[in-house]
Amino acid sequence: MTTDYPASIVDAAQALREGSVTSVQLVQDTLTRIDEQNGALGAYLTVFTGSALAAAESSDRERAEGRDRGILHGIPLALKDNLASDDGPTTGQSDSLPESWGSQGDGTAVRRLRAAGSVIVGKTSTMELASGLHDPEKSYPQPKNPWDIERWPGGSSSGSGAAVAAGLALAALGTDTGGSIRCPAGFAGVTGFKPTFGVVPKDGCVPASLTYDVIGPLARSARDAAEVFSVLTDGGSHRLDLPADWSTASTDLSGMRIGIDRSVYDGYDVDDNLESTLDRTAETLRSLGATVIDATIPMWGDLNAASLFGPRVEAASVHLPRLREQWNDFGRDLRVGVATSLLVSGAEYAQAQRIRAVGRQRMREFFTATCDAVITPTAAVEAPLLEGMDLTPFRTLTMVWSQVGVPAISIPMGSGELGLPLSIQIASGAYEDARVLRIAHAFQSATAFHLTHPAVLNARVDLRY
Amino acid sequence: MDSVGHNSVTLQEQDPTLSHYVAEALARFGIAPTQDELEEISARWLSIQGYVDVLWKPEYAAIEQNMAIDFDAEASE
Repeated sequence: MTTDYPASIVDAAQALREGSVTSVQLVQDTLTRIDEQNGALGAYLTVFTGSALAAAESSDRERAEGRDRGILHGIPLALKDNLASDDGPTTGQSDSLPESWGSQGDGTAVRRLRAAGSVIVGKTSTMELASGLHDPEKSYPQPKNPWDIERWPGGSSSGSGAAVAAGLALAALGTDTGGSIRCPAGFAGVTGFKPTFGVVPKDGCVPASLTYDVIGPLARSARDAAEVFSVLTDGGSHRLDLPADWSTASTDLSGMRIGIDRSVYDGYDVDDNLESTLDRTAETLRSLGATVIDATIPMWGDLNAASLFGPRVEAASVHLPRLREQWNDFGRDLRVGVATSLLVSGAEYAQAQRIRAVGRQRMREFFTATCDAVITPTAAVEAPLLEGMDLTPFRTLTMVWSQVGVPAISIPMGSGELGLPLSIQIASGAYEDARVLRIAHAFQSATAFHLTHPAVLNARVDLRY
Repeated sequence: MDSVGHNSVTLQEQDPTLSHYVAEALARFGIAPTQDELEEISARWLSIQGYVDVLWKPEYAAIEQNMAIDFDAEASE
């Protein structure tokens, strides 16, 4: 009989509490799957076999003694390799990062996961320093999409998305500067949540762009992402109004006004199935009680344009000292891109920031007067082929929400022409993280797209869960 | 034309002397890319400059305090 990896953290936690599986079994199974599949996928850079199994044993011991730390207790999770941890090195997938970086150990976000009992199984691959495209002259792997290993898994939290989709972790942390959680979630068919800027502590995270970077979860469901997010925010501090118990979160969207903006992909290559999947998504949301309306997101083009004068300029401020000394240690895309941003004037950067401030005001008005949340595709196409890949600017539709710092989530909504995932992105106003998660959870309560995983997942025969 | 209504600039359209000026500008930062890299940097910079007019639209360039970033809200814990 063929069985799957647990469908979710929620399912695994229930099995742990019922005693039908132990954390050691769950972690060992995860490590075995990594061993079998990571060579093809390149999802992990480092695997912490010894410390993960020790943590799992400790978790099982605590549970046997009657201590339950919550839903993440004993659950195998992964970290993007731009996040420091006690378990091992942090490379940012770059030869330019000093080996000593990250030696301080867990940052606050990772420390909170560990305190909640989760088991860190390894560090996942990323684009270089969460920014640069793969450079074949460097030794780091090009992560592959588990739906089709000839295709890009999205980035920059590439390995985190691939690992969660392939069942090599039940969830993973990623970071998002302009779409780096949502894009890989979208292309790998998993759930990826970018929180409101500033609500998850960022110490212990290699900076990419200081006024854009956020840490958030990639998971197998919105409910799982919500559970991880609650832990990351220590239960919802800092203006957030998170439910104390996500298991009781309502899936009734009555009274919710949800806008849909199809103009954001005007002029793009568009998958043949995109419009029909969006139509079905709108119908599903209506069936849950929401009022779905056509809406035009304010300043979409201008905020995208202004982003060309922002994040990479901030990256230059982070990397310039090492760029001077270690030019060839950086991959070509990153070193050329950062050097380009050094040519942006101070006035242009300041003006781009001013546009962000205007955008934040306009979005506050939009999410008050027009709708409570808005949906767009995460990308208008399926994952692109790696060979000859051309990431034309704005082909993913994620940057605007980073420009204005509001929460946004990517969840699968169907399949494209080739049977690969298509995803929607749901965004709302600042600090409305719970609303975004609840809409996604409600959608997943009525659909099964998030339960569909790449065929490789079923390759093993094991009757354990 | 792209989604924000501007033409992107191709390498062929750029001023052949541009990479020389780019090299001088980057030298100020202590960076000396190869000629091949300079040409790519020049092309990328020209492409970005295709969007610069957006920054100076009147609604974003008014002489007023429309840059009210909430630093308290955006501060990490």
